[in-house]
Amino acid sequence: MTKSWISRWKLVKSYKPIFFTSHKGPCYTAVFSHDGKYAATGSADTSVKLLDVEMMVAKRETKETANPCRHTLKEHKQPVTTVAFDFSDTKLVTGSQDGTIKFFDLSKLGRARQRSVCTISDSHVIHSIDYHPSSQYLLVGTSNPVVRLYDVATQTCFASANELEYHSASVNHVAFSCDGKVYASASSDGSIKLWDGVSSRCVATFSEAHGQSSVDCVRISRNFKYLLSCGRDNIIRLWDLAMGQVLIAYEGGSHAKYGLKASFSHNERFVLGANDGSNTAVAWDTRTGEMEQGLVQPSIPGHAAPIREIATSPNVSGFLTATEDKTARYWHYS
Amino acid sequence: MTEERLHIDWGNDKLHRTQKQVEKNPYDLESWSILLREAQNKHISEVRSLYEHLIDIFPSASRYWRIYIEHEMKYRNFEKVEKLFQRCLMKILNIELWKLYLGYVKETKASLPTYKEKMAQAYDFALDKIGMDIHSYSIWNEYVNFLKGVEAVGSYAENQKISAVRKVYQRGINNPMTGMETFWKDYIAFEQAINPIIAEKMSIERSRDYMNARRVAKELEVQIRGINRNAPSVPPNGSPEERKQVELWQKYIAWEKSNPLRTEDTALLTKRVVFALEQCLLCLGHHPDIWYQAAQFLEYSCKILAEKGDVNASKLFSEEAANMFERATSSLLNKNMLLYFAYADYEEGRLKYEKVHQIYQKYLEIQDIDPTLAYIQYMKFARRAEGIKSARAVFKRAREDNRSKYHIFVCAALMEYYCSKDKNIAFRIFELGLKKFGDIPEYITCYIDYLSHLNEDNNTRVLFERVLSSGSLEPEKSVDIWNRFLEFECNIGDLQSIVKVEKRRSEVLSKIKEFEGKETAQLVDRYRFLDLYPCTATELKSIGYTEVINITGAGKNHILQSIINSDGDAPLPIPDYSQMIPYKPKSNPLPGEHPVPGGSFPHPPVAAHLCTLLPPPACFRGPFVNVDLLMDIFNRIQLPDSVPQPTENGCDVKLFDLAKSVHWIVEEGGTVGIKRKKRLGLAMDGSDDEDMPLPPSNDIYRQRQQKRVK
Repeated sequence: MTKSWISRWKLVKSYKPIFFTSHKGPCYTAVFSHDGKYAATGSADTSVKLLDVEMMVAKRETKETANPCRHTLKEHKQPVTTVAFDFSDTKLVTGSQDGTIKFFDLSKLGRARQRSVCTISDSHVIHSIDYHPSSQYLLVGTSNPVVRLYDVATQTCFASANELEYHSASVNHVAFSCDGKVYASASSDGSIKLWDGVSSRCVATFSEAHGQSSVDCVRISRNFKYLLSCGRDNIIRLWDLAMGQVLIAYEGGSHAKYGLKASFSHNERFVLGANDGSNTAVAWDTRTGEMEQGLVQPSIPGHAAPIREIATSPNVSGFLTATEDKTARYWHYS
Repeated sequence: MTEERLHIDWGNDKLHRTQKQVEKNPYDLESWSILLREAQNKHISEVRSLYEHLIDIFPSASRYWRIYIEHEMKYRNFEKVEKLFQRCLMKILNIELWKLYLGYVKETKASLPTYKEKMAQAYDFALDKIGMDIHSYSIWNEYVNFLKGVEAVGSYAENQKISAVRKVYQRGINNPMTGMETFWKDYIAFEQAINPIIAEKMSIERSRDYMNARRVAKELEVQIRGINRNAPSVPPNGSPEERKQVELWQKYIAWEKSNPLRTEDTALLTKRVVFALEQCLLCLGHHPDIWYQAAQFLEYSCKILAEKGDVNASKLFSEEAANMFERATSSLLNKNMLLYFAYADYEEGRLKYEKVHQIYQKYLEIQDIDPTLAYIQYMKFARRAEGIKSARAVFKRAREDNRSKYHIFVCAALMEYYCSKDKNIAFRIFELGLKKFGDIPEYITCYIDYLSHLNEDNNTRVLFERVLSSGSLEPEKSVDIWNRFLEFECNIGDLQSIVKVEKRRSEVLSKIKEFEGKETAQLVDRYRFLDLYPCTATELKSIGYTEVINITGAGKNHILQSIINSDGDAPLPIPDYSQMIPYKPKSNPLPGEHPVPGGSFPHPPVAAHLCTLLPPPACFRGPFVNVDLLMDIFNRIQLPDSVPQPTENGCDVKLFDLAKSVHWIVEEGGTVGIKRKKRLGLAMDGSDDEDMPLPPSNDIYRQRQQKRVK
């Protein structure tokens, strides 16, 4: 008992912001690469920043002068809403409100890296992108109710065959499970839909998942048994995919104004959310739903505006918060 | 070395940690750069040991040498600087390093009375070594300017000076490098200033060579684009960047080998290729293939030169090739057997057996290696070059070396058997080995193989019994031998002895956990032959055979391996397009497209391609179909219940008439019948041409033709 209390106390003191990017507009999105070496942030200033995670840490610890921001990619004409790495971590794909999806080849060197290698034009504002685990397919959620599946090689687009199963409002977030068997989509119509990864047929619909309010975020846990959703009703919910029902509701955060993309911590022990009132990140114990008081230190001058997205590193205790105050902050466990 | 370095007081915990990191993984470039950055702020005497250690690990990294030397220069330790230059210049043909050297000579030697000679020497030396580099323009230019700046008194000295400058210019303009256009212009200007008439002549004479070199310079620039020439050499790690670099270097080397200058001079070509290879080795020194390639190329050009009759140059290159191997095996890759063996074979090809012995000695003297393979190669060499006696001497040495493994016994025994055709010696060697390696099933298997191939059934059986009853093998390890025994008996013994061996084997196997209650699995072993099994793969699995084969050794069989692996991880489920609809996102679909919510159903790819080839819709000006009437006609058509049989003409008259009727019905209803009769009549009339086959009644073309004939 005492031991667990001590370990928790240690955690409580641990997450500290060690680096922040300086965008020229509100930061909308952040993501880590699958090996955890890189991170990318997208902003309303239409730019995407590619960050070196090790250098962010090194900068803090050795006071190095090198800039962890490796590249600033300025190819979009409208705010960047989503970024994703492919599973080999050699491609970065970005989606924007200008309706385009751009691919950047990270295996190239120097300037060639900063130019997109190809572009897919969609008719609607891109909200969310996620890669299939094979990196051959791209799932795209837009302001249109139809979830698109793009073939990366041919850039052809496919959609579920049954029109009756489509969402009835814009799709805010899409996520593949890491075995590629299912994917989930969250929509402004208040529903979450689960789709078969092979046939793209809808296998389950959680309508009114967050009451009447729209759902902004879905994340599938690593064992693809649970789904984390976040809606404008200020509640984050954990769903059991087999039973199709809510297991735990994480209450106490507030993110109704802009919507939030919450996340699991890297070991899925915590759920990370936000509190717009105090502009801080908050955390819950995933199993119990209890809020972890001060896991993310509120006393450190954190953000000056609400958090839009939280992205967690896949292998170390660190996460990025993308916020309205034009920064993405990297919080590191040290 | 390590203890020495620990004295460096970084005054920072993080840096100490970084240093630890470097000690753990000496090729951690990022940690090194952190340390270096810090070290540059310290006094040279504090960090000299660090630098020494660094260039020990990266002996070919010009960047680290440069930092070291610059640091020494900062504290004006010129003696040390000189020594360092001596150590690195010849080995590292890096343009930046050489520029540093020239700058150093210029600065420090200016006060000496022999300054000019020294400087000229230094330039000559530099141009000889590094003049081929694409970025060497500044050295050429400086040299020319230096020569021009030398004061010459008297016409003789003046002439000397002019010819010296001219010589450098004429060498330079043949040399592909960036900025050679300016160099050429300078040269022309120089000649103009001396004598315009000669200048004219010279420029015409030389311009062809210059143009050629300029072309090559342009190509070269393209070739080396993307190559990181300052990358320190690290052992291959298979990263994508590394692969990219290797690919680029290989491309560049292949390009140089293709003789871009189109020169007849083999020596020059070789020099250029070797220069490229040397450059590559600075960055990829840990890649044995580059070293081998370099040596091989030298050998090749040595052959070419020998064919041309240039014996001296040929000999020189042949020495160079040996030198290349020597360098490889004594620097970065001093534990790479491949290069040692290649080197030994090369020297063997030149009949320098003494040298080959030295090479093998050198490798075998390294302490922390497994010398077995080297001994085997050594033995093979000794046998083919000096006969079996010499090989035996090597074998004697090998078996006294307690690092060597059982392979040398197998190799020696088989060598005796195959080469000196002496069964008994081979037998004795195997016996000798058995004393030492009696507990290694692989060795025993080799011995058994040998015996059974000799058809010595009884001896083989005795060996089996001896090995299995001696108790020197643990049960897990003896399984292999038992399998062999069983196989042996299956092949030559009678059923009773088979059953007997199998029973004994199952006694041993029952001691092993995996075999519990799997008697059938053992039976499978009796009947299998090569990759044939008495059951199907799934049956084998249900028997539990796949679980035991890892121990029985049959798992080495690739077919079974594939059976085992197939129940491993399933492939990723991938989306199946045939169950979805193609979708083209569009905010407002054009009329005529097939709309789905938020987009349209696109043409199939082939049709879409065809559509791009068609003229735009505006080009279509009719005829337009009256859809209502068309539908009306479709409604009135009465389709037959059965498919009409084709007539002998290949086409059905009635069908054609039906089509005609569709066409005509809009204008006039009943004329068709008459027309048809007419046509048929015509066809009948046409039949007076008996040799002509009757045209199909709906072939208007031929009907008309016949009409015309009439």
